[in-house]
Amino acid sequence: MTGGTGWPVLVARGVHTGISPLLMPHPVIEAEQIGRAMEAVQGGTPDGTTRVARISWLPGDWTLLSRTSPALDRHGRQVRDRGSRPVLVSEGLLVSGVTNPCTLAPDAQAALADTTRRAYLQFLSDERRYPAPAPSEPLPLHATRFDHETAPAEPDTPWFLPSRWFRPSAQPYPEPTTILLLTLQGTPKP
Amino acid sequence: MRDFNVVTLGEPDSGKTVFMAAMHEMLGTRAVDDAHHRVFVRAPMGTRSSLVRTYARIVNPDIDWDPGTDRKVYQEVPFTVVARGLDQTLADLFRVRYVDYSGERITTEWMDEKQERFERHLREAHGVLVALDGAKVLSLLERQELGRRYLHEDLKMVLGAVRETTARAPVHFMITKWDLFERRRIGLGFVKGELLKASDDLAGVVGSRLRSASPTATMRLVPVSSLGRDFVRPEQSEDGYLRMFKTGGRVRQLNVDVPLLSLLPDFYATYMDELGAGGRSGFKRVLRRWHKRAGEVFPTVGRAAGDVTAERVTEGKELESYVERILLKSLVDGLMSRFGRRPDPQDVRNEVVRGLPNNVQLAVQAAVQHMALRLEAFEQAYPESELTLEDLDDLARTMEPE
Ligand SMILES: Nc1nc2c(ncn2[C@@H]2O[C@H](COP(=O)(O)OP(=O)(O)OP(=O)(O)O)[C@@H](O)[C@H]2O)c(=O)[nH]1
Ligand SMILES: [Mg+2]
Repeated sequence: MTGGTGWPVLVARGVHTGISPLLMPHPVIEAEQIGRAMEAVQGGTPDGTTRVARISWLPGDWTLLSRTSPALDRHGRQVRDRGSRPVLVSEGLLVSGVTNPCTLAPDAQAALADTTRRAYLQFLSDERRYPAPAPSEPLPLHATRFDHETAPAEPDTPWFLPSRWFRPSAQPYPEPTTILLLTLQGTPKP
Repeated sequence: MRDFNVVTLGEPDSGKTVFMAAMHEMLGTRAVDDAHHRVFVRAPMGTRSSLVRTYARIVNPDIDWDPGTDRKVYQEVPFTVVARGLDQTLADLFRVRYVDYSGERITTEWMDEKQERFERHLREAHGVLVALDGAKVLSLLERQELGRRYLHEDLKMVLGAVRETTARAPVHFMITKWDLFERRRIGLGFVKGELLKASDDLAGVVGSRLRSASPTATMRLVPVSSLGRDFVRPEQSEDGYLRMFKTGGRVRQLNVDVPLLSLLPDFYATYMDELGAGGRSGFKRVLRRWHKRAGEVFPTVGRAAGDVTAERVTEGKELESYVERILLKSLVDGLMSRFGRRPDPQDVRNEVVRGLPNNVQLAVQAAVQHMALRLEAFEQAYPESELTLEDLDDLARTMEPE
């Protein structure tokens, strides 16, 4: 269908540090909306359930996909804060030029997970020196129509499965909403 | 019924959420069941279920601690304080509104939509409760790097927030996680001295608030444990922090009711000040003006009270204003006896409540007495808990070069 751009977002506490914008899209930094972006990406139950939201506080069309899950250190152990409490990470992708509900293909999921994981581990290794807010590198995306029926099951990638958030509304719609599938640009289509 | 806004100020992990749940457990659950408790709190159903659920998770030894309060959460916790007479008559005394929020609101530089609401609550608070994190205070006493950082970062930011509140709002301090001090047998007097010595900010805030406080107000430093030493086992971790482990032992709250009870006389002391007096010398003046003005404040009390019938007072709104009157009178009674004042001919206290239903009067009196006794017992157990200008003088003396 069309192309788009997605910026990784990462917001988390560390062991010593309070909640920090560890990865922020350039347009958010430019618009001085870091607080709003942090608010938007945080929250929800920490079970990795994906939330999709239209963004109103940036000019233009933006959609934010986000989820919150337990923070793990490089040994895969739960990170704890000063108060002995489990730390959560909230991560997401801020997508420009998209107003439809959308979901990520496995390649885009993997690229995002890799970016946020690397950033978080770097932050953990020296919290005080981590340059928050760090601008994130945009991912070029390709958007196609997502087909509910033929979509491959991806048991290992619980990210952004549309069935989680796509609930048929009680309101009669003239047409069912199209869901977009975002893949990395340059990756062959399935 | 009067509404008092209380803001609890503490950085992340200072223990605000656990404290709120424990306070509700003590005053909103156990006190209700205990027929001898002359006062308890009631929260709206939704708030109550959320507090009960939080408490259940906290005291369940099989599940981990909850993560820090999310910044999205901004939970208003309205507690109605209810008096209960010997004959089980109930009367709503006043409402105290707490807010549970993420401590990040105090320490962060990143503003979001709820921040404005929080800051408004802060500026409009009628009472301030500062949570000093016991674990960090302990590391300060032990001269650790973490303690030093606490002074210069968290505590400084929290006291900065205290300065945002109106100068007249009474301030109390609680040291959370007091079980840690009990384990080490460290006394409150020592902790108070060390804290004031270490933090000029703290001494400054205490001094300025004491000078602007009502002459009848008491500023307290309350040692609080929301869980008790049998339930939590602290262990030093590699990163320098005390890790808390749930042991599954008995949960026991210590003094979690005191901060709320401390605020009541303050609120009404402020109110009585508004009736007239000012200045520190002025307890006599407070009472003299109270005597003189009572007639103005409650105009035609005598007359109105004369035609009150039992039916009329049960019509809700009116009942509330009567309860208020009775409450004020009981509080003044309490203050009078505390300061050893005998009634004089100008005294209108009896006029104020004449003709009001006896069972309500007795219930309110019993509640006020209950609270006064509880505070007295607390003061006896912790004689150093009051923060006074003398503490600051002592400090100045010890700091003088020999
Ligand atoms: N030993 C001991 N530890 C406590 C007590 N109360 C709380 N804690 C510990 O302190 C941690 C933090 O308490 P919270 O109530 O979550 O802290 P908070 O002030 O709400 O923090 P934020 O929500 O991040 O602002 C808990 O997870 C417990 O490990 C107590 O009475 N004794
Ligand atoms: Mg909390």
